[in-house]
This record gives sequence, C-alpha cells and structure tokens, in this order.
Amino acid sequence: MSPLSVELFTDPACPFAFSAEPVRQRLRWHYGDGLTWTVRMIVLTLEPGEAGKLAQGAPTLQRRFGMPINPVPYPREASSEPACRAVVAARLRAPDRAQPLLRCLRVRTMVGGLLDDPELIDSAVRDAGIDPRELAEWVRSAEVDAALDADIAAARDPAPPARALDHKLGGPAQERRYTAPTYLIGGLAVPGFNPIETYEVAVANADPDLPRRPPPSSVREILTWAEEPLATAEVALIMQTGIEFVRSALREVGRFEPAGADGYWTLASS
Amino acid sequence: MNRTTAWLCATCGVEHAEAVGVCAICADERQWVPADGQHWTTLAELDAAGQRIQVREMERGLLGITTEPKVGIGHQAHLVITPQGSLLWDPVGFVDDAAVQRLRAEGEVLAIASSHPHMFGAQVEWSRALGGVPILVSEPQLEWVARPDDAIQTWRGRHQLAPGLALVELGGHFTGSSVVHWAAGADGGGVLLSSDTIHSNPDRATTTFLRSYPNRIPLSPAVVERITRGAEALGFDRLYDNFGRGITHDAAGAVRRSADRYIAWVSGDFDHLT
Repeated sequence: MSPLSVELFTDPACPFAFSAEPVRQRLRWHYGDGLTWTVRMIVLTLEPGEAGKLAQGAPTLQRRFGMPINPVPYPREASSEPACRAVVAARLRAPDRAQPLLRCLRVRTMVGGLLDDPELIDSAVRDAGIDPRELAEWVRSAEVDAALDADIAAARDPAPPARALDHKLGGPAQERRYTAPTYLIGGLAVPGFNPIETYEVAVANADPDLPRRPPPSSVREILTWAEEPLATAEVALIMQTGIEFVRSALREVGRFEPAGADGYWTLASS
Repeated sequence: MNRTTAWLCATCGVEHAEAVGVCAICADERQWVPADGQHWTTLAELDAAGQRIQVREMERGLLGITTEPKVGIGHQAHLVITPQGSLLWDPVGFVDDAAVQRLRAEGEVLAIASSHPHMFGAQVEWSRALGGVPILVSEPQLEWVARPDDAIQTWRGRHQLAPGLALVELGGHFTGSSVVHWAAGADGGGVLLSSDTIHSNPDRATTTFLRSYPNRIPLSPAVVERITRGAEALGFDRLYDNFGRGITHDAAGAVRRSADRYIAWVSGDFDHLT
C-alpha cells in the first residue's frame, strides 16, 4: 500500500499554524508512515504589512488554543524568508529533517525569537540534526532558490476548491494565497485553520483503506512515541480529552519545560 | 490547611495549573512582567513566610478581605452577605484557615466571582476550601483562566445570585468586566462593588475608567458612556473599588460627573489647558 501524500503549506512565523500543531501531531499519531509529508513555505512576510502584523504577537491565539506562545509583541518586525529558505533546503537535501527543522524554528520564534536571526536559525538547525555549515551551503544553491520560488508561487495559486472557500484564503485581493496551515491531502485542498475532524474526513476520502491507529491509552504512550517535546495542548488533542486531565497525567510521567504561556513535555526518564 | 500544587504568579497573584514560561495575564498590555522575568510562588511558600488574611467590616453585610503582606497586585476582596447566602468577590491570591472559618461563619457562600482576570486570585483554592463553591466567570474571560476546574461556570450579561444581589457585565477594562450590585447595601441605598470597571480615585469623590491602570491605557468616550449608563441603571448610593477605596454618598452622581469629565478630556474639550 502506497502512502498518502500530504502537502502542508505553512510558515514558521505564523501563530495560527503553530496553534494548529496539535492537529498535525494527531494526524501523525493516527496515520504514521501512512502519510508522506512535504512542507511547503508560504513566506508570509513577502506581503506588505504582514511582518508588522506578526510582530504584534498572538496573545489571543495563545489564550484560545493554549500553545506555548509568549503573548508579548516581538521587539521588531522580522522576515520569515531566511527560515523558510532553511526549511526548503532541508527538504531537498535532508528530507526527513525538514519537519523537525520547521518545528524547531516555530518553537523558538513563538517564544519571541526572530526568524531572520542567523543564530536562531543555526540553533534550530543543530537541534534538527543538521550541520549548520552544511545548511549554509545548501541555502545558497540555485536549486533551493528555485524550490522556494516554486513554493511561494504555488501558495499564491490556490487550487479551485480552495478558491471556493475564499474566507479561508489570505493575501491581497489581486493575489489570494493559502493561509497557514493549508493541507493538500492526496490532492484534496483543506485551506486554513480547521478542527481535526476536517482533516480526518479528507484523509478518509483520499484513501479509505489507510490504516488508522486508535487513540493512545495513556500520556506515557504519547511521550514515548513523540520524537520531540510536545505541548500540553498537543497531548490533549492526541488523547482526545480535557487539558487539565492531561496535565495531571503528564505530571506523573513527564518532565515539563516552561515556554511562553505554557510549555513542553518529555518523558521523565528520557 | 491542605495545600494543593497550584502556582501563583508572584506579580498578579493569579493561580496557574503549571509554572509556565510567562503568565499570560501579566504579559498582556494591561499588566507587566518584572524586568528580571517571571516569578512564581505557591500557597505553601506564602504560608511558611507568614502570609495571613485580614478581614474587616466595611459596613453591615460587607467584609473587606486583604492579604498581609500583599500578594500580587494587593487588592481587596469582598464578601457580600445576604440572608440567602454570600458572594466572595475578587478573591485574593492566598487562603488560610482562619479566613475560611470567618467566611463560613457568615453563612453559606453561594459563589465566587471576579470582575476581571486580574482578580481571579486563588479562586479555585478558595472554592475547594469552602467546600466546592461554584466559581462564576464571565464567559468572554474564560480564556484567561489559567487553572481550569470543574467548579467553574460561565455567565453573561446579568446573573442574579440572590434577591438584591447580582453580577452585572459592563465591559470596558476587559471584555466581560463586571460589577456587583447589592441593593440592600448602604442602608438600602444600594452598593456597587465596581472593582476596576469603575475605579475610585484617591480624592474619594471621583472615579476613572481605564483599559490599563498600571500602563495608563484609556478607553474611548463611547465605552465610558456605555459603562456609566449601565451603572446608572442599577441604582446605588455607595461604591467600593478593589483597593479599599470608595465613594460613600451619591456615588452614582459621582460616576456620572467623572464620566462627563473623562469624556470631555479625551474628546479634546480641554486641550487649551494643556
């Protein structure tokens, strides 16, 4: 059985996309290797005014969705282009590291880091298991230039089903684009921020035979499975239960690392 | 007292389920995070340091509750006592046995409620100490609750707790900011527990209205007028804010005069004086 392709249009700077990380983690839990992921970069800050909006921070999203975001504004506007370029380079040269790198970039910028800061990118690259000197070479290649340009263009050429949901698109009137996150699941467009059920329906439509792992029986099972520290809200969505129940259970088995207005959990023995 | 593991933000005194990276209430533009970063404490730590609750009678049927030394913002909570039971309003960020016994001695506590998130204090801890008393949170403010609990219930608009005792949402300082209207207070003239929704000034004659008190962010003339009209509709002679200040007589008139002055200033009527 061949895996189902998932193209994820996103941007490490986007707090909506970060607030949707619980959905991505739960899809990974249910479908595992049944999904092949390709992360594609929108580069939100190419649009006038977008960097300014992002620099205001995302306190409301933090409160509403509970991800580890520092609610205070950023010290200045920042371009997400250097970070997006790094993700595209990883996708081309170290495909299995692209999603971990995107995650490491997100985690850092959501607590106030700036995505055009070379030190932040190097630190994220190292944590994702890539040699920063190698990545510095990769990002200068014409191949990465072309791939990033293709991502930017594709993000701004939404599929007809996505155009039918214009309220789920972003950008100026003359150049509508995918918002982050937008999923293309086996070619089915799911633009914008949606509940988990939307994606599960798309997966089932794209591949009715794709095996679906049932929910975990414990938070220990999740932390053992996870390849990266998970936010409380992510564990709650995977467990399909309330956040305070999950928090109590996590305290029994996990180690908590504060970040933003919440934090991340790893297995205590790890 | 059986202490639970809740954390209190040392700056605002609001309880949290976890010692997270930063208190969202303090990181908001209405509050502030100390220059040296986020600090946490616990009820057990405060207890060991000698923290105590002070209770004093403000008038017949109304207790003022403070912490000594101050916890967080250092505000004053109130217990409004009616024949049908009492309301613990704007709970402080500390609980001790003596205070719990004192409150219980006044009869059944019907509910705990706060005017806005800065005043959540140790609301869950108070609820548990008082036997699982419901915590009423204005629905738009639920997203600010950092220690969810089954005792929390939401309300909107107006919530009648007992005859002559109601929570009333006026907005302004926060979406969902509210006041308590106690009709029997002030010897029947009516009391408004206005908290930061309508804040009493040190002159004891006027009030003000702000989005942020520590950071001095104003509200618009339209919002101040809306708050004032909402308060006027309640009928009250006396007003208490959340820091032990108040206006003892003709408080509704004082609020109207203060609103008119505020609106005139922010509308530019007095720019020639600046």
